[in-house]
Amino acid sequence: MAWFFNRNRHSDPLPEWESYLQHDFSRKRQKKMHLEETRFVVFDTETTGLNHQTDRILSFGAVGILDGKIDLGNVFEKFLVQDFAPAPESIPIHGILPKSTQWGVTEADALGAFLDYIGNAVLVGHHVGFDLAITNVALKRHGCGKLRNLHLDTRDLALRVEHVLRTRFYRPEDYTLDALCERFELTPSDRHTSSGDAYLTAILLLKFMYRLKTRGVETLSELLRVL
Amino acid sequence: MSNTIAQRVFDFLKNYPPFSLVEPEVLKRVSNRVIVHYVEPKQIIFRQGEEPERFIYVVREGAVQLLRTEEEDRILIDECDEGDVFGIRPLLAQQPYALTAMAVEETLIYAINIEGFEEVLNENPKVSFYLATNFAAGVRNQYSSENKGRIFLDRDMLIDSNFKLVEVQSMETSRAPVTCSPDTKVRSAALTMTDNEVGSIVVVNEMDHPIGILTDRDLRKNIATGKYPLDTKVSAFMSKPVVCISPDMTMADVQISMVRHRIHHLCVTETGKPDSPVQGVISEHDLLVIQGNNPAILLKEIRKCKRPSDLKQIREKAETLLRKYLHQEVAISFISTIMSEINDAIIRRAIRLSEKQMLEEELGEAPVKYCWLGLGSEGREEQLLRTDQDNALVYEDVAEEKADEVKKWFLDFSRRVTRILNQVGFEFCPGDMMASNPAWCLSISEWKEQFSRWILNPNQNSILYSTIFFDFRGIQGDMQMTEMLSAHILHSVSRQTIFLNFLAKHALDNPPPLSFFRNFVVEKSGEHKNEFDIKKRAMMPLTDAARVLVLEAGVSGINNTFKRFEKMAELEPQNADIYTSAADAYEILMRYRALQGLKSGDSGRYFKPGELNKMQRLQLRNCFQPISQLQSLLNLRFQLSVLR
Repeated sequence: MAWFFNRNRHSDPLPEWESYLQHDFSRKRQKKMHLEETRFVVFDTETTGLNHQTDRILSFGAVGILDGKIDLGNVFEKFLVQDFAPAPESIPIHGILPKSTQWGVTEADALGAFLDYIGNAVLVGHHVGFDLAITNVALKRHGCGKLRNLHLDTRDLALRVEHVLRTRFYRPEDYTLDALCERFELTPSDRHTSSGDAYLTAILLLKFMYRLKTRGVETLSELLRVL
Repeated sequence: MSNTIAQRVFDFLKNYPPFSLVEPEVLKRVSNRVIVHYVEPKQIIFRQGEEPERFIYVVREGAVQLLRTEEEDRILIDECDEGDVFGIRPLLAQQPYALTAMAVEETLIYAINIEGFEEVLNENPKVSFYLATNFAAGVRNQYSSENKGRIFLDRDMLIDSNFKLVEVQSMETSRAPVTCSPDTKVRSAALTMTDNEVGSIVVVNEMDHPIGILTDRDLRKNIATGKYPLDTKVSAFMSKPVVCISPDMTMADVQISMVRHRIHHLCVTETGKPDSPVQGVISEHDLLVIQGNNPAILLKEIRKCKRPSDLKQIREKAETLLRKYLHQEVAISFISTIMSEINDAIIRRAIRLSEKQMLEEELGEAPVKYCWLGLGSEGREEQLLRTDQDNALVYEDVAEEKADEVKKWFLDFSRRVTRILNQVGFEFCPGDMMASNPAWCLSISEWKEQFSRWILNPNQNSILYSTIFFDFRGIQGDMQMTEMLSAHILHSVSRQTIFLNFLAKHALDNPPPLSFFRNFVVEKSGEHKNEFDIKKRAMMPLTDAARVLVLEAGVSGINNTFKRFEKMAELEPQNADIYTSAADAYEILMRYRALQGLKSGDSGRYFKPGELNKMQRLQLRNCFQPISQLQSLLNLRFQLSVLR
């Protein structure tokens, strides 16, 4: 089987990579965009562990947002076949058993579809840094470069919404996805599947954007502004 | 099922008609194409007159108002919350939207694309029956314009029967009005007035239309001063034109009219205009007599009372006043000020009467200066109804050898005061938080020690006591003592901040009163099983939050919960929204509880959620929103997850 998974290693980039690069990633143009006209893709990955260099992606879940709307007819959900079994300790959390990975798609196919799906949307996630890093490592494995998209961490937005950086009250455990869902009255029904988490994060993003909008945030650059 | 999110949408939709009537396979297909739409408060989903798109809408979370615009007015037709479907009829009837849909709060809606679903909706007999019965034009108009903004269904009825001038007149001024012609000489007019024992006479023309009025005041100004001779015709100096009102005006209208025209007499005519026959005269004095429960008059009467039973009667009159204010939707801050003034006056009177009793029994005067403290809701100036009494007493420090004797006097005194208050209708406190309890009748040093003990060693009891005693307010006696006590509390708290964390934790003991599915959290057992406890579930969380916030901010002298929130909004502009909505919510809850209490003749604390209509439920629910916002604010600020 090894030849199958290694087919793209150190070789040509994924075919989707070329078309992905055709998108307009101009920072200047993008940042001027108003939030209602900006497409956001909120995504989450489930992985075999927490080391982005050595661990592998088991599933991608992503939802697109445009003008406050999430079209469930167009959400992204892929389970991956990996050439090694996930570390046993991660199974109880996400419920993806080694067996279930058998009906998934290859990493190359999943990444290609993901590139098609995101286009030049703003990528959003909760602690998005890790998901970006592990995706970039996977892309590299398939001969591609790093993602060019603008990105946004809902945890940072939460801090901004609650004015926390300016106070002495910040504690990390108050800013987990679970804690935020509780505080902003979301029903965490699908925690620990990547698309369930992505959906919850998307609703949080919408709630945060509304709150920031009441404080005058209208464009992408204002939203991305570091505190 | 292609994705997990659509599965959740399916799980939700299958509980609500008409989707519950549809084959699961069809519904699953539909769920896969749902668009989840996040709508901001006040955002419009569709407008009246627009052509419908290919969607029907279901509220997933939040609330949506359906409004009809008529000329300038927006009339609320219906309010949809979780699981309610809207926008379905225009779509099926292929007509433009008859209503505008606007989100009231942050709302999630599912927009359901009816492509390929339309036939199912139309052909499935169960579904079409449901649609026919529920969405036929007019059927959903339960909340028509005349109910607009009306929270309590009995409101209009009460105003109709109790406060229209008609009733008032039949009771007090049913006599024919005293009139005269313009040519009447002043002297004979004055004689007529004297004979009829009235202070005014209406000057009418031959058709009985009022053209002027002559009052005692006019006679004083023009005749008694010698300005005109006694045989002058009344038309020479009568007041004119006459301000007229129609018989169906409310008392409030009458008062406003008098204030606006700076006059003391109004003429009642058939049509309310001067060109119709006169029916009567209403004077400012009549108004006061008729009302009989004008607060100023009540206060004056209280000060003259000699017996507890008289005080009780006046307090009952005050309740009529309260009922009237509530139904006329007078601002609750005004109502609570008035009611507190009346309560305070009653307490002061009870104190005065007790002091007199003790003098008569030769037990002497108060041995040292003291101050009578109102606690709890009385301390916060929020006691609209006669709930139980919470009070305490503080007196000046005395030499050790006299301590017992002094305390004995004050305890005897307090027992008398609390007994009188009980006779007036303020029940004894079941927890014995009264000045007659030796533990709550102390010298100022003892009080300070006690407060320090609570603050330095916070435990369940001391926190509970703090929530009652820290809202104290001096009612009678030496007010300096209350200032000293407040200063002492603030000082101790600033040196022992962990106390505030405990107090904040206590404020979170009662979680927001809505269950997962936005139902009211009802009592699980006991006498009030399945009833909603508005005090414990909705008001106390707000009171407790306000208290700990002002204590942390070092604010003293503001006891009232909504005034505390207003102060906090001033101090923390970044949280002003939360505080202002908490203040508003508290006012609505107070009003609701008072009305409920008047209706059921009790404290108004418990009611059955099922007995509320939809509007009432929605309004109460909206009051709960700030509770959870406040609680998460406290949770963060006081780092309470550590303590839990």
